[in-house]
Amino acid sequence: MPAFDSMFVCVAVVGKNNDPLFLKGFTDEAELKFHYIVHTSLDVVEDKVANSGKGNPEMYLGHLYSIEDYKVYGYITNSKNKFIVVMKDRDGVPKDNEIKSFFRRLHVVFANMFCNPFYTPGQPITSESFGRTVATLASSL
Amino acid sequence: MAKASNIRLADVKKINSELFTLTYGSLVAQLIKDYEDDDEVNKQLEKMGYNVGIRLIEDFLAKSGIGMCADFKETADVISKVGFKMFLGVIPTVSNWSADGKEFSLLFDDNPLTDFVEIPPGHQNLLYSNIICGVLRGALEMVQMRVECRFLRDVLRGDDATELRVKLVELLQDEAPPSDE
Repeated sequence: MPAFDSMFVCVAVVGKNNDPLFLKGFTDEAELKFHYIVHTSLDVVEDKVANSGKGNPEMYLGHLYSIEDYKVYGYITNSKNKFIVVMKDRDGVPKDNEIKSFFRRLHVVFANMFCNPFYTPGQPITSESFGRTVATLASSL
Repeated sequence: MAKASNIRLADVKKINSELFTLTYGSLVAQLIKDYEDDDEVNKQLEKMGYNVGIRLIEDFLAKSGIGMCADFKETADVISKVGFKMFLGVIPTVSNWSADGKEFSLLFDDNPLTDFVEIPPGHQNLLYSNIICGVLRGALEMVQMRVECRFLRDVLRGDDATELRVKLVELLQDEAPPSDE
């Protein structure tokens, strides 16, 4: 049992066709609620990507939107895979750098999982070790 | 050992290890799709390994310049310290010698073939690195030794270590060349 709840309440991976590949909640909330929050954030992601236009687009999208007492952050890879992270709005607002570095580490873990010859791109991620690694990463913040 | 350092490193061409790992992974995944049966895939991997081994031994002998081994124990050392180092960049530990000195185990701390790999559920019998067994069998056959190789434990299947058992079955006498008739 972690000594304090991690700031992260949910981590999700969405494929390039906006299909959910992975979603893990870290509180007792029903998963459906997180699915809804992540789904809503996809529109914001598309907006941001469209607005960044030409020039060097950043993979880290930053704060996407806030709902109830949650803040949603996003990250998109060049292969259009998106990572969405939902955080509980608390006094200790996490620094942008910490979230950016979390996304970068998540990207590495994702790439390693993707290299598994038995993972078919586009399929939901069923690898247990991916789930465990994500949970460890999330609780380390 | 002076012999091991004679490897002409300039002759060893390098490729990106991820390319190698992904290529082997694709190969195994495709075999599974084609054959659908784990045991059949294991057999095919071993056969492919055998074909690689009978050719690889020539390359190995040419690059390493190592002469005949005095006994099976020396063979084991050469396989692990020179052979595996040259081709896979790892040095497995030789251990668990049998009483008669005809069987030993190779313990792998890490295996470049299996980076990033997770065997999906339902394929518990798959010996992912079985190509190595075939390579050893083929290579040793070309130097007059018939061996049997099999994986006793495999980290990919949830065991705590990867152990390959090599058993010397017999020393092959040179057979008379096929007659001209």
